Amino acid sequence: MNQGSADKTRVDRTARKTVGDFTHPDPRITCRNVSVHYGDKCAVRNVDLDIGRNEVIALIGPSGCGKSSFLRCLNRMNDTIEGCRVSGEFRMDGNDLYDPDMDVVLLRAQVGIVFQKPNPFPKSIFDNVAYGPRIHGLAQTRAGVEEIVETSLKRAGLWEEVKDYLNDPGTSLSGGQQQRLCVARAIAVNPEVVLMDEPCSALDPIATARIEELIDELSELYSIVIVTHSMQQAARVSERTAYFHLGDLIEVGATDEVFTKPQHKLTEDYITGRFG
Amino acid sequence: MSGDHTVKSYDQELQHLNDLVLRIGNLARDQLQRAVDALKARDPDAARDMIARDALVNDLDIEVDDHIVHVIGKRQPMGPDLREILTVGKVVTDLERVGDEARKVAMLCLHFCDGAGSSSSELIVRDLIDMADSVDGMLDKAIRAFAGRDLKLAVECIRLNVDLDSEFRSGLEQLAAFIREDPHVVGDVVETVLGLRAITRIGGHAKNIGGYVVFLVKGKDVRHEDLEAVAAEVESPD
Repeated sequence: MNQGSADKTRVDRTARKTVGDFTHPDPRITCRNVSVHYGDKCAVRNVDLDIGRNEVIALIGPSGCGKSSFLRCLNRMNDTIEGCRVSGEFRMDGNDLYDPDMDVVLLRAQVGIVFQKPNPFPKSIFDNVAYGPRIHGLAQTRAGVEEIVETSLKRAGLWEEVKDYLNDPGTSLSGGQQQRLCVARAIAVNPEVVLMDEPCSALDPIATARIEELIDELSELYSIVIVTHSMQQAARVSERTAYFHLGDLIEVGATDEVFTKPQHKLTEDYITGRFG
Repeated sequence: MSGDHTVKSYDQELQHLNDLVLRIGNLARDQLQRAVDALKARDPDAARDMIARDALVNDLDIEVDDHIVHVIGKRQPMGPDLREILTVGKVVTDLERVGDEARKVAMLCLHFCDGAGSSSSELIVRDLIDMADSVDGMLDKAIRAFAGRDLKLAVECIRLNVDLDSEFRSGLEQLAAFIREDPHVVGDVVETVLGLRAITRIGGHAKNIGGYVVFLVKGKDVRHEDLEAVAAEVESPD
């Protein structure tokens, strides 16, 4: 196990070095020396972090700390941003995610993403979920597609609410239902990792609780990386938490430890509301 | 640690909790002193007054608990703030029990004042009064350890409690000697053992508070660790 801090006996509570163990004993994705620049501006600086198999890891930190930029590296969503440069090494099960021969469309199926604001396609509920499996050729028959749609909606906890309205537009659902539809859409293509970028920020507490319950259930099948501004949410849903500050990964560790006994002063200040 | 929150009212709420701990701590010490003074002076009115004042300690205990519920519900504290609030709750519970134990010393005074006491009662309670003095010093250190987040004082409280246990055993032997010399004092001795036990328990509460301070500062629960282990934890780097 690697220790992020150089000195194992005494943690420097002020240095901009990662405190805690950034490795995972069973990694799905390993990220090493990752930096992200937007033009001249450095958004993420030399970050090392593993994403474990079937773990839920929360990325927290103040706005502009680099957590979403880092998240978007994991399925190359930053490729679509003009002026964005990503450096470092990303490997999923040993394969280089930034290999020039990497099929980015396939990668985004393997590493799905759910955004802050629910963004269903302007299609029916059924077609929202069926779209991915169709373009990836995951089912050859109508019955096969129907089976994937039903399974995905069930895993997303939405099936019972929509099974009689599958031809209604996805946009006709409530915000919470739309977000679960987006989760169903992401998992319909058999991903290995699901990225969630503030998935509950636009939802009420009940819809939030449903998404959190969903995260708990989905973690049996997938690795989940969640960016959240709610520390209570990070504490509730994740096993590990990583704290970012001005582009640096400051601290990573077991969520229970990070929220009760943070090692780094910056983490402590942030989680206790002393930041800034 | 309470200060510097972005939300200043959160600072004020935590500061208020800390102030309440000091108030209940000083009140508990005052109660112990009143009980011992009443015993020394064989003053039943002072003893009854002290017993009645225990309600003040109880009221403060409830006030602190109410405030803790309010802060947790409103702020959802984390990290050192969470430890601070948990520690306040535990410290106050122990201080409230100090008040209960001090009441037993006042009850001992009433025993001696109701005519049941023997002529040698002053000798019998001598060790208890000496121990009460030591225990008051422990309480003072415990409260100061909490107020100043002072790990040295916290460990000192735990160390002094080891000495107190020895004093308690020595006190019991002395009381047994009184019975051997004059079996008629058995009633006084039994009552005094209860008082001695109460004093020892107050020392135990001071020791507990020392342990809570270690948890507050270091984040490590040392309640069931021995003195050497606690001292090692205090010396270890963060």
